[in-house]
Amino acid sequence: MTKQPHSDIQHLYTRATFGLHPKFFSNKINKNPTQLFEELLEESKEYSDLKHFEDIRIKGKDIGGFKILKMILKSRKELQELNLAWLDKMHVSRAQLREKMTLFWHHHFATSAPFPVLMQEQNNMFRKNAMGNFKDLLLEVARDPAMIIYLNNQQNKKNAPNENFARELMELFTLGRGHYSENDIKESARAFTGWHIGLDGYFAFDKKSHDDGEKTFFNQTGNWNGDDIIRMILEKRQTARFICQKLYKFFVSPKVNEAFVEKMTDEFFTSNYDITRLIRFLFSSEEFYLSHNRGALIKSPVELIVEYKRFFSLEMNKDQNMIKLQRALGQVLFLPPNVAGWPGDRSWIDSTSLLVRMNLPYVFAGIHEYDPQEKALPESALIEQKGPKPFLSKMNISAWNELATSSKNPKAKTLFDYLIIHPHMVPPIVMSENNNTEELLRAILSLPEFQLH
Amino acid sequence: MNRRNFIKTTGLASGTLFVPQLFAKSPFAFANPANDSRILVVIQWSGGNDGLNTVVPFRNDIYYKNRPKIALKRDELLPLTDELALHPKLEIIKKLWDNSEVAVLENVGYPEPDRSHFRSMDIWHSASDSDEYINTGWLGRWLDQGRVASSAIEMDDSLSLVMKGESQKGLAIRNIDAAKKLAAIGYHIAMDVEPHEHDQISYLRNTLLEGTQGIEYVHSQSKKFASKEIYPATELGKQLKSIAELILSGCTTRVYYVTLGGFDTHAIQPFTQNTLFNQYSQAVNSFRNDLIGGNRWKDVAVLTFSEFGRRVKENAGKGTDHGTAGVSFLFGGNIKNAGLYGGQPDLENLQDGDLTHRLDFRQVYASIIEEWMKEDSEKLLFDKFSPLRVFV
Repeated sequence: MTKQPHSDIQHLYTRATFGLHPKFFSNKINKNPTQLFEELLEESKEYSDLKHFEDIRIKGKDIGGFKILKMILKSRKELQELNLAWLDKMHVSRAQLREKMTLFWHHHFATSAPFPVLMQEQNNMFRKNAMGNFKDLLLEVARDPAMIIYLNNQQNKKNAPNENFARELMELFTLGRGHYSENDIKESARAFTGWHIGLDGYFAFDKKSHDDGEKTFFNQTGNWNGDDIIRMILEKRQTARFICQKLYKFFVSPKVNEAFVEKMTDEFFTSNYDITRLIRFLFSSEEFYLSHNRGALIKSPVELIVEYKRFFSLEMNKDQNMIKLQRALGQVLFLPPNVAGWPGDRSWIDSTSLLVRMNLPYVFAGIHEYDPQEKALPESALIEQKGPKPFLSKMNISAWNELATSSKNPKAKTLFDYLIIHPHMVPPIVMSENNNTEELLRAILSLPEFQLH
Repeated sequence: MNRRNFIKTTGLASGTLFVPQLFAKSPFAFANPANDSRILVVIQWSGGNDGLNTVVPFRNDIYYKNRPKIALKRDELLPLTDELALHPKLEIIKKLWDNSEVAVLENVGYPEPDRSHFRSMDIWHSASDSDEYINTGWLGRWLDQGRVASSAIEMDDSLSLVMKGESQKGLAIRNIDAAKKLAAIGYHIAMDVEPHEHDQISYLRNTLLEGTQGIEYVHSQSKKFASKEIYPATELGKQLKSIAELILSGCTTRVYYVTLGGFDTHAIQPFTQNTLFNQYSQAVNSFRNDLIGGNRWKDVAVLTFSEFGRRVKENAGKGTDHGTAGVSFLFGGNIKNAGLYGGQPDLENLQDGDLTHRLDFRQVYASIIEEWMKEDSEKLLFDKFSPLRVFV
């Protein structure tokens, strides 16, 4: 048994975007994957920044300790606001591919600093460079205030170097373990001394704390600074390979096809790290469309939630529940577990998180009760646990009704084929007995297979 | 196909249960071999507990000089040794000490300490070095040795890294009845599990099967025995009561994990520590009584730790800031070598105002794994750490 011929479209859209709403589906039918991808690129040209917080910094003006303290105290609540603002953007933005790539960079350059304004700025920096040149992106990451705080480059000074940023730059952001020496870390940390944030909250190069002595990095000796280090890192093909492997795991499959990644690496390396060229190569390859790569990825909690938003205009009765849900499923935007980011793939799924995912359509409909409590936090033991609260939400299914009734196929098959990506899956024959769209949707959305895309 | 099968396959009527065949079909045997009755309970103190006001070096002037506002006075403490004494609210530890049931582990930490809560907890959970990132937890890797999900339960709504292995993960259950409701949806689908050529689907279906069966099993065990012991009406009290009931019902779960949060005492530390230690002492005391009554205390080991200790010098707000090495406790009814491990806190040789560790936390894990769980610790910890010989 085969899936309907349109499954290429679903496969492309579930990976390159946060989901294609059925009402737009008919516009796509007569286009081939290459045209559709070019369309996605085109739609990503225009985009807007995340502007939830006004930037209170003024160039050259000391922010002052009191204001900084106030920012930290409010940061937990405000990071949640920023979280919701980004979720909304993923939901409504026309520049879907760009948002997906922004999420990829958020996974890759995982950062969590207690300053929402800076996290917002970093997010906009990712968005701007999401499909540009990796070198530009990397140079901005090294100057990014949130990153400088998160990886302690603020404390990286000539007389007391802090190697944190230099280490992660190579281990997690560019080369991967085993492609540099401990000495390379030491020497490159020296090159990044004095790359700090000034009293005004902006990046500044502090000449006084910069070590301008000779450094030997990758066996080359010179008076290197941070930009030189990044240049030398990018001269290594391994950097291109490392990013390609990660991109493959994000967009294609957790099982990396190394031979194909070598082809991606060629494309990326010879184009001097042009990200658009790389993803065009990826999304127009046969590899991407191979049957065994379809349905091979486990949706991340954020992908799952945004898909609900895009497909059903999901709205929670309380904003806080959107955060609770992310927490219960194991991924809160702007709060990666550490600088290595979310491990992804099967780590998203344990018995409990899977049962929660499967219950969601019933929970959203108010049929099942679910009220996850927050994990005991460093500061939160003394709060009494309150009784269960409804986790009610609104879902709009009118377009799905239209989709189901417009097809010659049984309702169940139409809905199933649209929502379940895996090519080997067919709807249980018995489903066709049911003609209630709402019930059918709930049944399909609660299948384990809906967790895959 | 009839209506009944339709419902079963699609999960439409999740209020109605079709359970009967679940266990008949089960490929899993829940019974453990006879020598596997030993149980580990971890009570995690989140927030970074201040070790120096937990086990107090009451003869040390440096302690009193650094903490003019929050130092504990000698006459209010519960004495352990000539040099060290317990916080007055840790009565349960004093009782365990007097009964030779506790190893007090001083100066526990790891090289290149990280002072971020989340990162340091990550390090404790994954048992990694401070500069490496491991995506599995040490108890998850224990589960990976061919165990079913219900072998390890975290009393929470979501599962922490510590309980996640490569191929197997524990169960997260805060409330057993609520978990059972959540699992109901799995019955319809879990019943149809067959090996699938697509391995992600197999993984999902196996995870679902184990979760559904595991929760059903734990739920049925939880109804077998109702404790008569009086527990404090705190979250920790309730959780330890549930655990005791499961242990006393003969439940085959071998690891239980609970968290008590709130130890991030940047301000008004004395009040917070009093409150938390009081909750802890009362709950653990009931737990111990319960298990002694049921003759299972001998099969239980409890580990209490926190992700880091705190600075030696108090801050201006009657609190302390994030530090490094701290205090852990390992206790139970089968401790062979009770006493103090790791020596006294060395207040004369601080590093940037912080204590240096003398026991690596992975030595504590190695003791538990080798001496208590009877497993190869090197396999689970990726390296050889010398066990402390607490249980042997």
